[in-house]
Amino acid sequence: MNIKCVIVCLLIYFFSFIYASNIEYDGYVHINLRHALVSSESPVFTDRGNITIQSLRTGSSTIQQKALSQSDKIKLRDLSAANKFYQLKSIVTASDGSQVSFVSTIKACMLVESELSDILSVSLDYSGKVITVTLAVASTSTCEGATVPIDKLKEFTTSVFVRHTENGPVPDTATYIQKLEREREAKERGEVKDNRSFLAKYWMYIVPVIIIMVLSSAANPDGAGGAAR
Amino acid sequence: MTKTAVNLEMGASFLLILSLLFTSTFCIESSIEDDTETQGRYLIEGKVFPSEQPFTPANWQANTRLHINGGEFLGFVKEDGSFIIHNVPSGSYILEVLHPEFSYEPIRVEINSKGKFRARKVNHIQTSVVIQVPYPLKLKPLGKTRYFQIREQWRVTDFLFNPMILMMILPLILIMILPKMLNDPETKKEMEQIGSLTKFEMPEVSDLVTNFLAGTSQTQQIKKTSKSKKRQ
Amino acid sequence: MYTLKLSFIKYLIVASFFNVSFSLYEDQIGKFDWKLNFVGNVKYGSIDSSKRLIVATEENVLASLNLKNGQIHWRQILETAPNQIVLLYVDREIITVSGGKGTWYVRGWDLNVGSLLWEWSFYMENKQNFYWILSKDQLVNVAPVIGSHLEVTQYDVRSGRNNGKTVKISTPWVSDLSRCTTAGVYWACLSSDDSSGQLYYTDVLAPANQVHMFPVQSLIGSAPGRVEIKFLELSDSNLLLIRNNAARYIHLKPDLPHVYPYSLSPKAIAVANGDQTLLLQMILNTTTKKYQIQTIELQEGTENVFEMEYNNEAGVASVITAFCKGSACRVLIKSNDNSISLLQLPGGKASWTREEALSQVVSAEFLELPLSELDASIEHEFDSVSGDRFSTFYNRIFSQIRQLLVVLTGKQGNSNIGLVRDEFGLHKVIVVVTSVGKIYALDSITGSTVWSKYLPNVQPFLVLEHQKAPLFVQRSARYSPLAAQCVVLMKDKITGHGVMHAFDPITGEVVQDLRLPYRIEQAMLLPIEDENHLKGILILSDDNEVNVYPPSAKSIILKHSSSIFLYTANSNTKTLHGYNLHQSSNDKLRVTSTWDLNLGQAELLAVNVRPSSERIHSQGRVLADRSVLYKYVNPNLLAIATLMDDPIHKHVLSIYLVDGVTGLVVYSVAHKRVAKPIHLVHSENWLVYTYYNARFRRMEMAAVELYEGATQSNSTSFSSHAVSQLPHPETQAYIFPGLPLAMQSTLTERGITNKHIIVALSTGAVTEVPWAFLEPRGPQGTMNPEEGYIPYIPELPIPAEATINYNQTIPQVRGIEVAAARLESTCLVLVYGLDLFYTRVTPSKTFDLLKEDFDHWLIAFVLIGLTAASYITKRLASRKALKQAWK
Repeated sequence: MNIKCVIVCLLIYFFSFIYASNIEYDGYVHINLRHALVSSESPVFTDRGNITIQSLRTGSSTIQQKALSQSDKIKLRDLSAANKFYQLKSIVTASDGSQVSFVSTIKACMLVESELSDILSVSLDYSGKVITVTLAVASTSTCEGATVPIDKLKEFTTSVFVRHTENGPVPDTATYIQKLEREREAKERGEVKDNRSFLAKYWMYIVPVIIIMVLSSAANPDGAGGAAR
Repeated sequence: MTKTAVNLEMGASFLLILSLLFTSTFCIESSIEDDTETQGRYLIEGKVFPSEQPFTPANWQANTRLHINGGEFLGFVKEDGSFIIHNVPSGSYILEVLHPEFSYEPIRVEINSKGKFRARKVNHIQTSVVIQVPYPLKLKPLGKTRYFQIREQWRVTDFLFNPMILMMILPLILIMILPKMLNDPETKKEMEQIGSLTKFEMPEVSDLVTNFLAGTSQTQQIKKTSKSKKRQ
Repeated sequence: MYTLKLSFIKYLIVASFFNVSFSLYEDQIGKFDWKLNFVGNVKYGSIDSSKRLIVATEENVLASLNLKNGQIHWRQILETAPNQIVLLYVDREIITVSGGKGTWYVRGWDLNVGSLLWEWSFYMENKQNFYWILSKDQLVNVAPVIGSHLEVTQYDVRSGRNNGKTVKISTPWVSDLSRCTTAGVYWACLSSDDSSGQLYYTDVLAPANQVHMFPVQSLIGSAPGRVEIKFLELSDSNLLLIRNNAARYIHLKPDLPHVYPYSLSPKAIAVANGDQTLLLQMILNTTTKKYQIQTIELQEGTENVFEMEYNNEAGVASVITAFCKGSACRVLIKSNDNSISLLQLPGGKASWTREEALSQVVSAEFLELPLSELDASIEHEFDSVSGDRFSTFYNRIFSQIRQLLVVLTGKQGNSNIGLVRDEFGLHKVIVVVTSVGKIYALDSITGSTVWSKYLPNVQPFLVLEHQKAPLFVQRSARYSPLAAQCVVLMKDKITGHGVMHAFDPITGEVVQDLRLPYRIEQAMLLPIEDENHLKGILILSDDNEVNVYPPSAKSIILKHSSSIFLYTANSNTKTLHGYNLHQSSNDKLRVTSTWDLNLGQAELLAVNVRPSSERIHSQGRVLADRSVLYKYVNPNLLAIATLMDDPIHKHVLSIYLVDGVTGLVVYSVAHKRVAKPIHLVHSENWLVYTYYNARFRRMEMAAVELYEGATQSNSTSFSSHAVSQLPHPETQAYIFPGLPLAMQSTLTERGITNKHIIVALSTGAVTEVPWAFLEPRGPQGTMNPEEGYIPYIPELPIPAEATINYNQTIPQVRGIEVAAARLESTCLVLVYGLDLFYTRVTPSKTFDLLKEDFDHWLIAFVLIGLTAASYITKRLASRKALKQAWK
């Protein structure tokens, strides 16, 4: 439980990380959530709740979701037991009245194990239009096989994140030019420091001195006599 | 003469621009947005020069092409090196000369909506810096394109000046050859003279070294005595 | 002076880096690489003398070929599509008219060397159909206006001087341009497409512009069937009237057209032979299945038939040109597989054939070669499950004797000599699929064709404006007794239904050739092998039904159905959909939607996945403080690039990284005021893309790297369903001083070697950009320059030493295919465009190989010398010691 809390916190951190809102026009979005609790080829979606995002720029939202009925709880539990997918359909109505619907799928067992706490990620393009709505459950692994009592599957606790498109990077020419400028100035002032070690700098003077010394010592008769023998 | 004068002038104005740049980089850069108008169609003219005589490849005209904006418009070179690129609408273009063996500097050619031409050096980092080049273009090669690494060849000097070799050879000379040289009486005298000179100049250091050498010779002597003992 | 300094510093850094990094030595030219040069799909041809053949192609290439061997003598590449060469005329010089979109270029070329002699150009705003006539140094442009008139403009062909003439000729009888043609100086039309119509023609250059009109019946008689009109190539003022695949030769004259009584094929051509005109056509003898060339002398009517020693499974498409001198003729023919051949008459031999389909490669794949028979037999020793001691002993002895025999005789008793696996996996077979439907297998060492196969009536899919023919490797040659198997998917030219061709890539043997009864929406290779090590292929049809090949793989799919996900990208509706498999009641596999992505009005430019064979060696990046930043490695990640028109920012490029299983947008970024071309490379945990920055008028390259952070979320196995933390992106952008045509990242066996990005440039160079140059430095990198980062330079260098194809320029590059060799340091590269270029690159140099200039002799010499010296000195020393002892 604790780990999960951390994960959610982390997630919130990371989701909000991309918050630098750069959309030019603010708007609101209304999302109607419908879910399918029976896995089939052509799923039947029933009403789950409504979400209104008042401001796409700040991402503030109001969430109204119905509690699950007893039959729905059983359906969800069965779906989880069969390791099937829980499907969510989000019908997004934008401020200009246009309607788009998105399907999102997660493993039912993960939803059950998280006790119906899920994350709804609303991704926007650069202009603030919704491109997709994705349902996710914060977890480090898929399903642990934990059994969750059915009465815990009552209310959805959904966190809604509005995710903006970042502005792309631009080549950083200004600092580079400044750096070059600084280097140029430094060179003009003659402030170029020579960081080489004493030996590396003056070896050409040291080596002849040593050689001469050695030669002179070799010329010394008693030393040379010893070496010559 | 006139050319240098122009260059100097340009240099001065160029510095001015630079100082402006740091205060208001953004204003300048955002003001150079392109407005491609398709009313007028213009010709870009110029001449490509091959590299100097001995290196001029045969039939270089056929192997030289000009690309504008990476091949949006093409130019081919005639016998005398001149080229014309046709039907270019006003705008800003990068002109490249392509030759498999020689490299040329790309040039930015700008044609305004009135049909005035300006050619300048390509500078992607400071897009607002203008270093004008004469128009019609005269394109000279920068040199032969170096595609290949040069293989290191074995040379005696490389071998001899290798620090490891130097380390080996120098002591060898010191130990083996010098004493023999010094056995010669004439050089001995000379060396004595030099030695006395050096002694006079800096006696302590040379003393140190001689002591050191003497020490080694002593050890040698000790070794020899030990050897002679063994023999017995 | 300022810029000078700037560039100096730049090149200093570059030089210091590149000199240690890569580039070839001059003596390595052609050692690891080969290049095949092509001209493209030949459109016009002209044999100028007994030496030369001038061709102009659909790829806008003008080339001179050697008539003896078909090799390219010189080649000029004109403006690319949508421009087209519309006229080729060869006399003492070559005259071409090319262009499109209102701009036309008229150029004269030197015959011998291919240099430009003169050129002029003009711009015509109205985009009509143009017809071109070249008559006595006058270039005539005929622009018909349907139902009204012709606009005829004359130019001097060399100077472009418009002699002040744009004549309008009233032609109310021009109703359908498909029934009109130019023939010499005449403009001719049929009024209807059956025998009841009229043939109208007029001399567009004559001052009077008299219109002649003749009923078709009076020329070729009345018979049911469609009548077509065609200009007879290489002739003046001559037409073919075609009905029911039989053609009549009509010579237009100012007074009355002359009809010749010969029955011709619609593909007949006319050749000048001295003063005579020779009609020449190619016929397939249905009984002997052999080609024949029939020649008819126009005036005398003498017919000759020559048997041809020419065989092509694809069938002959047309006779392009011919050149006759007396009784000897050279005939250039084009086959349906776009190959051109030169036939000799009267001998009937084919002098040479050029496989021009190889200039139209749409997909390529490197394939491992099988083990040599000997190695395989050693492998088989361990296959036998029965642990019989004697039989294994016998096997061992037997194979060792064989080994010995091979060593002694030096030859292998092998059927496919040469096509065996080498030690380092450098020798491979490259299977390429071309847009005409011909599949080639090329030997990666020599570039020669191992086998080829023509699939009739197919065309590639058009995926996001790129021609693609998915090529899947179902089984590699690793499983020795079982042959390797590949599948290529294309679509039928007429019905648009899928075509599936399964084959053995080493021998070319056809396993199965299927014409599917549905259109292919998406196809994918399953990651799971069956008991025969065969990976199944999943094909999604247009009615959302899932088909499996081979059908036996269905059980495997059913077993893993909950973990198989598909996606489709629809460029018309600008949507992406994710799908999951579902078994329908009637035992059919169907898909159900799992996620949707709606891109609105944006144009979908690219959808890119990581190469499935890629391995990632390092899970993270070690920071300066010894902590690890873990990479976000999601194998299901899709990279999507879109371009949207915007009223303020003109065009906005959006890059989305989407999880292919859940549809979660992992990362999205937008660049404003950018333009095409846009290229994407997606590898490991990073993405590199290039775009044109319209504001600063330069190409830029941006890199995005995704990190999980200091902890790894699901370290044992990755699941897209478990979202624990979103990756943290690091981005950086660079100026790229070149125009990329294609990009790809290198791939090595274990992913230890550094990554390079191979970029094909518009200049014809293919260059390498090290990932280390592009890697976003992030806050850590800028803080600690000692961490091994190359300091950030805003403008990426493109040094000549990094050009992997050195001076062999490759024009019109469309794609780059890479494969890992078994040598970790080496990556094999095939660049395809108009030409094919193969080489190998070593991004971290050949650290696992001895240098090829390693002096084995020197080492041996030194070793022997040292041993000898030590032996001798030992002897000498002992002698000395002895002497000293005697003293």
